[in-house]
Amino acid sequence: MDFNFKLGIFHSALDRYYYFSAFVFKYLYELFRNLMKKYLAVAKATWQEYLAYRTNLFLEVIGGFIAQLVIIAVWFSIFKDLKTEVVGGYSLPEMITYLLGAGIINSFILIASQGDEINDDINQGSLSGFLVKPFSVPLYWLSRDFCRRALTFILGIGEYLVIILILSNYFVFPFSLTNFLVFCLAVFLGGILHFFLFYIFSIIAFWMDQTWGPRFVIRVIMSIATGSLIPLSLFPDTWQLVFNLLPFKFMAYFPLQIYLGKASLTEIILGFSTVLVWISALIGISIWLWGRGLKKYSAYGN
Amino acid sequence: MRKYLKIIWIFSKVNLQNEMAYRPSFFLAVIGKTTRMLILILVFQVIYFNTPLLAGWEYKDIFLLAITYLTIESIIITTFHRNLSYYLPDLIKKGNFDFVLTKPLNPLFYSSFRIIDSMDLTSSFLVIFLWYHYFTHYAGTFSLLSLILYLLLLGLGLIFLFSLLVIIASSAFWTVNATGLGRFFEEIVRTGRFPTDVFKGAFSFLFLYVFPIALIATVPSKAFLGTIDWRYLAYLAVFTFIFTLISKRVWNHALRHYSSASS
Repeated sequence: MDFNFKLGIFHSALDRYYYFSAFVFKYLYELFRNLMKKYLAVAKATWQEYLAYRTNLFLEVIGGFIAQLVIIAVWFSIFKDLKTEVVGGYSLPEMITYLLGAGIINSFILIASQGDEINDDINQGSLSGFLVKPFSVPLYWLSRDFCRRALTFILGIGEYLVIILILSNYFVFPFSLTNFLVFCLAVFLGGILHFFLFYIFSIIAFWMDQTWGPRFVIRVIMSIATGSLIPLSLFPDTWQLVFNLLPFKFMAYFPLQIYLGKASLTEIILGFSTVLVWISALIGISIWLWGRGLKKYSAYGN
Repeated sequence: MRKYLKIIWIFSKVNLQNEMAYRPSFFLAVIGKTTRMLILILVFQVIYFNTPLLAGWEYKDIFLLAITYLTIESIIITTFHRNLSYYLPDLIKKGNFDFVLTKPLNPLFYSSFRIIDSMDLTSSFLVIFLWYHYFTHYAGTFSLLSLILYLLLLGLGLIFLFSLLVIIASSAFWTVNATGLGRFFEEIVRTGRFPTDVFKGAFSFLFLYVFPIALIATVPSKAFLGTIDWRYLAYLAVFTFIFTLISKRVWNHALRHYSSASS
């Protein structure tokens, strides 16, 4: 009796706790929805806009896909010539999976946005039109950017699935479900990191007429420093040291190490902390630059 | 011929002036472009850091293949690549192609060489340096014949790529927006960075005969090293000849289809 009574109290406490959390959750959800409503609308409109260019986007995606297939052929050939099971700590299936994964990340999530739009909006004065609207312009650009990423991802995943089916003997599944989920989170953070990096180098358009140059330099360095062509661990030590100091490895190399189960728990925790520090630093710099840039902005061209 | 060379010279001068207007961007672009070339060499260095041979190629031979690729890339990127894949579709879209047609010049010549990219021209000096490095460090003995053959095949490769791009660019007369095809073309050319010997089976057949990517760098390099089959060279010559004729017909057909826009 006594016991059941106590259990009753326990249950009602639990119920109250549930109700309370449901309430908090609902409140946060509504808040989030109201905040996000505008940006979802932007995303929807952007989606329609980009769909009009789907053939062009698709061809771009296919191009990246072919390039990655060539790299895969190169590694097949190396493993065959060397007649060994492992090169630089990677077995053939691991290497193929690494390159396929890097291709998916690279073509659809990373290469997608290069900040041309932001640069043009500032330099051609269309920014003025956005500034008077009741939304945050950086978030507007962010939602457009992620929309494009999503679209190119959908356009491209099909080809990679076909290749994964063809090369299924060489395809390694994620180390564990947890690893896969952590991998997805790492890719997402990599996407954010990528956006803010290019965002910073696009809003220097407030001071420069053309920001294509610096963005191009970053893109070139990125092509090797993300590890999407060759896993970074295969580089000589000096190069690895350099790549470890740069943020780019968090865009492809780091997530794929998690996927393949090659990163220890400490490495994962350290990696996530570093990537969060990078993202916060970039957001900080971007907010500072944005504030100063707006003061400088004179809306010529419109 | 002299007239056209003179016009190309004027185009490059005008464009250099245009691009020098944004000096910081110009120098950054040159830094970016040279870095991109060096990255290709780095990629091969890392590959050979882990393996002594790639599809039967030694590092010194791969170095030749890489600079052959970079030479071709520098030439097309400075001259017709962007003109045909990005600027021509833009002219057509805005209806400005009318002005091309009214000029007393071959429209294909004008559309292909209108903008001579001085950023790429400047970065091309690195290629010359890399050639110097090759001859002082890696090159063995070679005959004059193989050098001539090498240059001829380089030319053949350029003609192949030009014809391919003309066909791609012609599609802009129908689709209006062909920039995606331009990117696609870039990636196709980029597959030529690696020796086609890495491909096996059907892919090997595809890249050697049906769509001879091998012509971009592998075949000239092999000719220089003296390891090429003459029958295959004959095939490539015939193939490129027919391909060029086809591209010319496609271009003429596309011109007839053009019906201005907006203006």
